[in-house]
Amino acid sequence: MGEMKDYSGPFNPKLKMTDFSKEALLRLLVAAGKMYLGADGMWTTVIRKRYGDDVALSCSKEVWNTIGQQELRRPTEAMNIGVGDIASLFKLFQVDPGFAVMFDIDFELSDDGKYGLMTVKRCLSLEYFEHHGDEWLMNLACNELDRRMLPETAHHFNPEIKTRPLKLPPRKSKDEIACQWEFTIED
Amino acid sequence: MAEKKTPKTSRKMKDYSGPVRPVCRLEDLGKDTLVKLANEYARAYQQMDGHWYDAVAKRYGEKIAREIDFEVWMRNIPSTARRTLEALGHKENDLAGILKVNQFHPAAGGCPFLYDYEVELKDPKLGIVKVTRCHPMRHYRDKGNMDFVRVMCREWDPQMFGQSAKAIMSDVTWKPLVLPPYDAPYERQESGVDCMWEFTVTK
Repeated sequence: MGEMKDYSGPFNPKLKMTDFSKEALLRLLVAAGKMYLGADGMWTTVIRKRYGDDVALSCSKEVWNTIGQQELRRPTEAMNIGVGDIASLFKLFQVDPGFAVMFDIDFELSDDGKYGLMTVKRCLSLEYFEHHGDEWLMNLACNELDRRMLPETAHHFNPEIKTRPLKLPPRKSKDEIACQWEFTIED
Repeated sequence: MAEKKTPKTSRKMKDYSGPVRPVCRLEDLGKDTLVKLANEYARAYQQMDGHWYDAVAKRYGEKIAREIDFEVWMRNIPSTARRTLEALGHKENDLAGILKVNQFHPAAGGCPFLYDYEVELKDPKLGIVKVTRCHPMRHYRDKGNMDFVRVMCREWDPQMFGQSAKAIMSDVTWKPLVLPPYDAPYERQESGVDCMWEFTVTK
């Protein structure tokens, strides 16, 4: 069987992921990445409605903290990314389901690998918060979670990596970047 | 700083062990890598739910966590089923579409970390879905937590399988043929099948 560009044709009871073309797999990946963050969003919505913002914030922090502690190993192993430097950290961001699908990101890495700059030019999550005027969610994602999680994720790759946000939401105009972070390893 | 453009002539990557690419899109990865990533994404999707469940159970107990988990799934299933079908490029809202969603939804056959699915379109109005390996059910069964097996399989799944199917086709009917823990009213057991479902269209 050749590679299938989609699954519009006859139903195939034995079809596997590997039967799809690359383009078809990409569409599935994008869908799964959106579902991943969508599941988090739905839990946040339901808990917020039922128990209020403080409980939702507390649960969300715990969930993402657990993900940070338990879920980094699998994607890094699956992609053979390795750990120990900023390059490895950037590789994870490029393939992570919560990053690769939702964001348009520029990465710059110094030749010696000790300085990295990550610029999130477009963030679908931020656009959602802005569209709905939901400052609480923006604060949760960008301030409460990212400000803590990104340094912790970097620390997982190398405890010597220092993380610093250079720019965070809110932004004055949609022409502005979403956020920017620098990562350094000092001699 | 490193050059920001990805070389156009670069070969597709079998993994990401080489140098970091300042601009690396999913498109740059080879097909085998994408399949691997699809599996990881599906697993992450399921784990997200599990972590939330744990966080809520810790605060409010298992009963509340189960109640909310069910609500979250029931609210998420319709849009994720349609999103899956759209990604697959299947345009018709028919029984074949329902089976295709079962094959590749990341909370179903699209998550080989947790499940193995076999599906059969017997005719345009009759479809069968067999879950030949359900890791969550086996996990709780082997721990002796039959109470939760009963909740998942008897209370949740009949509604969730239906919710997914109805998102594609509103006039479908469905019923379990084989369902843990295999006691009344579902005593039927089949070798190599954890659960089995029948979907029919009457019109």
